[in-house]
Order: sequence, then C-alpha cells, then structure tokens
Amino acid sequence: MATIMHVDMDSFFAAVEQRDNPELRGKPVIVGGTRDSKRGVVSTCSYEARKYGVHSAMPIAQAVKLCPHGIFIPGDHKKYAAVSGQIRSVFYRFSPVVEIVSIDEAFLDMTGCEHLYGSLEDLGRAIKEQIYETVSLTASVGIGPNKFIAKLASDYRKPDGLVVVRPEEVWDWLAQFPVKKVWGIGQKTAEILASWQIYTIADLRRCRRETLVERFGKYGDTLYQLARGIDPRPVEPESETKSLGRETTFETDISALPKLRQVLAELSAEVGYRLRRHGLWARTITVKLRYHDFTTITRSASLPEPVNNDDDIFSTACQLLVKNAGSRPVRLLGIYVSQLTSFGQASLFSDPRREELARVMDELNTRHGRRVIYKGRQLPLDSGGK
Amino acid sequence: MRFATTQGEMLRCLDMVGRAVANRDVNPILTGIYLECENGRLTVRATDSEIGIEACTSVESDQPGKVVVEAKYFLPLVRRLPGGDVFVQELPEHQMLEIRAGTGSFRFQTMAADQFPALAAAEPKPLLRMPSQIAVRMIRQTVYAAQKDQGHSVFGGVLMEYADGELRFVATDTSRLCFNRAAVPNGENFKMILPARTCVELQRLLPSNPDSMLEIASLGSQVLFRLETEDVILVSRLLEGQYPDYTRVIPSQTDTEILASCSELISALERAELMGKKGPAIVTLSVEEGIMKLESRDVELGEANESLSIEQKGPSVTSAFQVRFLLDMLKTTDSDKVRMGLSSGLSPGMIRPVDDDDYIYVLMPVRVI
Repeated sequence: MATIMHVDMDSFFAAVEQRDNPELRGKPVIVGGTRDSKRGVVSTCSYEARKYGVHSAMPIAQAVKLCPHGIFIPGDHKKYAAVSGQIRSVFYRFSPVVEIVSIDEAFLDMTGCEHLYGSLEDLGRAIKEQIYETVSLTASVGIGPNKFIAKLASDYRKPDGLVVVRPEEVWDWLAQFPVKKVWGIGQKTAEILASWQIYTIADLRRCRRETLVERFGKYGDTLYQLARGIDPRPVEPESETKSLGRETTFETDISALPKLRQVLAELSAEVGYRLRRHGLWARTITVKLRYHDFTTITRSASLPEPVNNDDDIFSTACQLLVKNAGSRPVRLLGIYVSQLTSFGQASLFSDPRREELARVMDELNTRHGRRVIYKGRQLPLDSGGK
Repeated sequence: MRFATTQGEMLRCLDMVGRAVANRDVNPILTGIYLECENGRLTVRATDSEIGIEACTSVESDQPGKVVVEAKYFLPLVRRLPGGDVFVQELPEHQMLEIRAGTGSFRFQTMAADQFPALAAAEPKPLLRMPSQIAVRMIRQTVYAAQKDQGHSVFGGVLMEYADGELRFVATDTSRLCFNRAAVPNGENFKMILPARTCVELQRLLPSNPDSMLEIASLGSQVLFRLETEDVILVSRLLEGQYPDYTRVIPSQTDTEILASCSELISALERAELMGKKGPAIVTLSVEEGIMKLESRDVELGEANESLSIEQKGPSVTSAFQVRFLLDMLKTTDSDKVRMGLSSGLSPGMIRPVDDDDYIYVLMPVRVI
C-alpha cells in the first residue's frame, strides 16, 4: 500500500505578507489587487478575511463590500516564487518523488519511507516543523494511501493541520464528505448528483457502476472508485526529458576497438531512433566507459548544431571512444545525448536523402516492431560481415 | 635604446598590437611586447603565433636598440600616463626599461629581445592592392557566418579568393553561407582560408578613411596584410583543408521572391527573438497574398505573432528559421529593402540587398515537429 503526503501552505500569499510585515498580522489581508482595482480577483486571503466570507477567485470589488476594512495588496509573485523554491527544497529532503501541483502545494510519495520518522504522525510533524524552520510559515499536511485521500486530509483541519488517514480508516472517514469534495466533481456534476438525491460520498456509494458510466462516461468509473477511496493516480515528478541514452554491460570484458565500435554503432542507432521518435535533436553526445577495474569515465562533445541522425551521433561518439578505449578491457559501454532541442537545423552540405533514409528505416523498424533494417556497421563482427 | 614620443602616439601603437599578445604563456616571450627603435622609427610588435601585428611610428631617438616588456603591465601603464611627452630609455646594465612622463618614472624588467620571433618567415609576395573600405565591408558582411570556436576546421574560417579581377569572401557554418564579392583590378589569383579571428582583428585595424589602401601578400603558409597609410602590418596563419564548393549551395532560383523592408523585418524579428528561453528562437515565416506572417513560440514562455506587408512574386510558402540567422544578415545590410527567396520544404532560403548582387546570404530552414 502506498503512502502519499499532500502538503498545502496555509493562505500562502497572505501568510508571506503577514510574515514580512508584522502590522498585517491578525488582520484581514487580501492579495490579488488594490482596493480600487476593477477587474482584479482575490488570489489568496488570510483566515481573518475568510471570516467575512471572502474567498479566492472572488472579484476584488465583492471582497471590498464584504470586508470594507480589509487590507488589499496587489502581491509580489517574484517573492512568492522564491519562498516556494525554499519550501520545495524541504520536500526533496523527504522524498525524491515530488509532484509540484502549484506554487503552494505538492504531493510527496513516501511509500517505503513511512517508518523513517517513527509514526505517520511523526512524519507529518517533521515536515511541518522543517517548513516552519525554513520559511516561518505554516502548512497543512494530509497523509493517506493515495492522492485523493491525502489531499482531502490536508484540507480537513486547515490551517496548520495534520491529518493521517490509514487505509483501514478510509471507508468510514470518507463517507461524511459532500460529493463536491471528490476530485473532478464541479458545480455541474454536483447538480446532476443532487437531482438523484446524492449529496455525500456515502450516498454516492449507492450508485451502481453502470449507472455512473452511463451518465458520465469514463469518468463515471473513476467516480465509482473514488467514492470507495480508490485512486490509482501516481505521484508524477516533473518529467521533462533532459537527456536520454543507452548502455550495455558485456558478458566478458572487451578491449578490441572494432568490436567496441560495432556496439557503439548499435547504441547510436537506438539512441537516434528514440530521439527521432520524440521529435528531438541533441547538441551534446556523451560516451560512458566502465573499465575492467570498475573505474568509470564519461566524455562529452558538443556540436555546433543539434543532430538526431545515427551517422552524426555515431561519428561523434566514435571519436570519443577512440580517444579513451583500445588498451584497457571495457566492461560497460554507454552513449548519452543531452542539450535536447525540439528543432533540427538543416545543413547546406549534407545530402537530404540521408534524412529520408533515416525516416524510411525508422518506419520499417517501427512497423515490424523489431529491427529489420540497419546499417552495416551494426553487424556483429563474428557473423563474418555477410 | 632611447627615444622620445608622446603618450598618445605610444598608446596608439600599443593598442593596435595589444590584441595579438598571447594570453597563455606557452612561450613566455610571447606574453611580451617587442619594441625596436632604429633610424628614428619605433616598431612595436606582438604575436601569439597565430596572428602577429606590427605598428610603426616616427620618434626622436639618439640610441637604437630593442627590448621586450611584459604586455599585461606595460600597456596599462602607458594608458594611465598623463598626456604629453614620454621618454623611454633602456638600462642594459639593469635589464630594465625606464619610462618617464610628467613627474613619474617607471621601470620594467625586460626579456631577451633576440628571442622574439619575426612576423614574416619568408619574403612577402604581393598579390593585391585595394581600398581598405572594400575589405571592411566584405569582412563585416561575411565573418559572422563562420563557425564559432571551431578553430581548426575550415568552417571556422573565411574563404578569401581572387580570380578574374574579382575578390570574393565566403563564410559558412554549414547552416548558412555568406557570399560577398567586389571588383578589384590588377591582382594575382589566389585562394586562402583565413581564421575568423584574423578577419575580426583586421577589421578592427582597418580605418574608415576612404583614401586608405590595403595590400595583401602571401608568405607561403601565412598571409600578410599591410595597411599602407597607417604603417601597420598583420600576419596570420592560414587554415588548412579543402573549402567546400560553395557555388553548389547557392540556389539559382527559389519558388517565391519577396521584397520586404529591412528595418520592419529587423524590428519584428527582434520581438520574435524573445521567444527563445528554452533554446534558440525559431520563427516560422508564412507568405501568402502579400503578407508575411511571423510566428514563434517557446514552450516555457509563450508566443509571438505578427504580420508584415510585403511584395510577393510566386506561390504561398512557409519556412522556419533560427531568428538569429536572419538577424545576423539583415543587420549587416546597407540597403533599406531586401529580396528574400523562399522555397517550400527543406530547401534553402536566400536573402540579398535589393539593389546589390554582390552580397548573397543562403540559409537552411529548421525542421520543427
């Protein structure tokens, strides 16, 4: 069973302003625009302001009516982003798998690390303390077996809350919430459900899966599961491709350069294929070598323009290989490409048929689901070169 | 060695040669500046063995001689001296060079002057004589297309060739190519590849004075430029290798011809260039019915869209380029209008000043998925 932690900063922008300006503490602070701003909306307000019915996404003009003595601040997003960065660094002390949802909230996958801090409560207290030590701000933390439960839990006792929902408690705990708390249910879905006399999650559980799917399509199935506290969404860390590569460990160490070159040709072709599949080009080519004694080196070369053709990748990698192999037996050979761009500069002097060739070869190999056509340099040497 | 000159004249000579001083002390003597005085003529010289520069001036002198002093400290001193007379004297018994100016007196240790290399290893063979202004223009309109930091490849250089009364400069980094030519009579045919840095340093030395003349001479594996009026020479090594056949990549025609205002295009492209947070900015040019649309976007930043009205001959066409490549050329154009030739697909585009067939720019599009 997974353990997911949701951390949500308490009225983040307003809290930063109150932290930095003691005069604002204990007062209704509304961030989003000045009092006379015609089109502004509230982006955050302090808990003092919420007592007057002010909430985020409300037009400033309305907030002024509800809370005439409120303190209205346009907001300093650069400052908030800087504070958010400090908080983020705390998250990574707890888990490498962090999904940044927004400037003031994140999911942390704590699966397998639950007991490093004692109990789950101790874990929640530890992260709250470290955030407070770092930025002097309070956070509300929810811990549960999945993202849905964790987020609901962090929201349960705001501000400065800590709520742990164990797997065996989920069923009963969840029953009490109005359906609007379910991920993905907005005004419209809530109205439809209300017309079926469904107001709470307990009510929702009475719906048959088929009924929900019939009315809401695929989401109906999700709804059915969420009502039962089931949410399979993983915590997804930022996933921009920064580099890609391929490496291989040999069964027996290799020192012969021709053999290494053949393997490199093979690896270059695989990396090139992946680059082209992703519509990417790379400016830096890196060769990784692990020698028989486990010393490992990486050597890189940067090209004037990004490439994704096997020939360019191979010829650059080969130069790096020749400089660093040939005498010592090699255990592992790898090739990595980085400094990726989403465009490729065409060359005046290269044959345009080369691109076409790569395209046709990729298409054939993709269609057959395996390598059916490749360059001669990839041919294993012991096959006699035929 | 003993001579008198002015601070201004001394600094003028030192500033001209200063850029040729070696940065790293592979050979310590090359971190120095060579001063030689003979027959009332002061010669100042520096070289890093890739390029060498020598500047001369008349001085009042009663003792000939030669010394080498460390450039890194000598040059700033002369720059900081008060204007007016400067007296320079070698003190051989101390191996020092003494400089006096105003109430100040300064001494520098000297290095062995006879170890300082001469610039020209062979007798120069004159090839061509031309107005400096032409060279200034030709360098300005080519050198930017040479590959940066590719010291030994021919793409890191500028091809300079002379044939049939025509001087041609060509530079390419394989993504774009600059071609420039000028009619210059009475020369010997030649073909050489200059390191881009040599062109930049020569450009810096060349005056805009319309009467100034430049002489080009061969030294075998080196080239010599003599600025006649200014009494300065620059010697440079040449790049070895085969320069690609550039005539092959200049398209004889393109699908669509466009006539556009250079300044409007520059302004629009400079805005589009801002969409280059994640990588170099790319602009897609779509030409249709006398309108050129410029679109660029950056996944982390946003997008820029605008339209220019242009004159169009030929069908609608769309092509994407690196914004910098377009700007590089447009900013070196003297005309206020440019002719742009575009073709669909991955065929090269071409830009020329409206009334000038001597400056041709060919650039390859980018593939965007």
